[in-house]
Amino acid sequence: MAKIVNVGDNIVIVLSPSIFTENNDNQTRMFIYAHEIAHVTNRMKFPSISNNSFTENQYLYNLYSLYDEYVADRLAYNVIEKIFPVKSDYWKALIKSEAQLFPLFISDFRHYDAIKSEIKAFRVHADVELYMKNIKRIFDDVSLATTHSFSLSDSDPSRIRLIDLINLPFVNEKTIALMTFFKGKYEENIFNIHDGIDLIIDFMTNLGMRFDDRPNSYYCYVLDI
Amino acid sequence: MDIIIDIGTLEQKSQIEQELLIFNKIVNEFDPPLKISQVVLPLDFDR
Repeated sequence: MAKIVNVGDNIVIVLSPSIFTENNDNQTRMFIYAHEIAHVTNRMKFPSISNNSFTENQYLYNLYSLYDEYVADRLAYNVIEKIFPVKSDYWKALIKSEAQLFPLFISDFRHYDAIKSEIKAFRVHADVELYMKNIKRIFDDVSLATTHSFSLSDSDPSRIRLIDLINLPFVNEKTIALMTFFKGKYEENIFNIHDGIDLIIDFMTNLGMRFDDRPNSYYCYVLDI
Repeated sequence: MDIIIDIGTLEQKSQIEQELLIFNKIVNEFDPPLKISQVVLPLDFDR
């Protein structure tokens, strides 16, 4: 729907032409504008994550990437709530669709089976880089869909009930702990979330990964799920 | 902040630009200012 491109010190926001087609209106587009602006403001508020540990960088990068999405969603939902007291049919349809599609995506056992299959393959080829390359897309998509599900549920629990999210393949106590942490930090307006590193470490084990530092490098342990 | 619209007829471009001026207005409200130099609506989003 939109993406952010860095051009030198400046930021260019690129919008998809699809947001100006028949299934959208000014309310659904305002959500996207607010969401993208939130990403830009988050960049100004998030602390630097650079340090000496590759492993810590990996975990913090993932932690802040997901929190960035969570915050952008929550702020954008809030903007729509405040600007448009009366919701359009397009907006209602979008929310209904998201409330169905995100949980449907993370409940799709094909993603879980695909990761299990890659873990099984890793036990034969033992190539960590190959494993990480093969699961990256699933990891990114499942993590994002999970975060979007919880941000939608937290912004209005009537849209997605928490009970409908738990017990899905990638939603367990580790997922709930991370999302509850995001909710708490967002509601307290906190943007330094380095203290959530143990939660992202746990969350990433859901997808079969645990990083460990090596001299000038790192290793990724491939865990059974 | 520049608004660049590559899609639509002249009339559609004008309507889209009017809507995106709201985007511009929101961006200009921030202090410190946001470093958004352009909003682009390209023909090919995936390029």
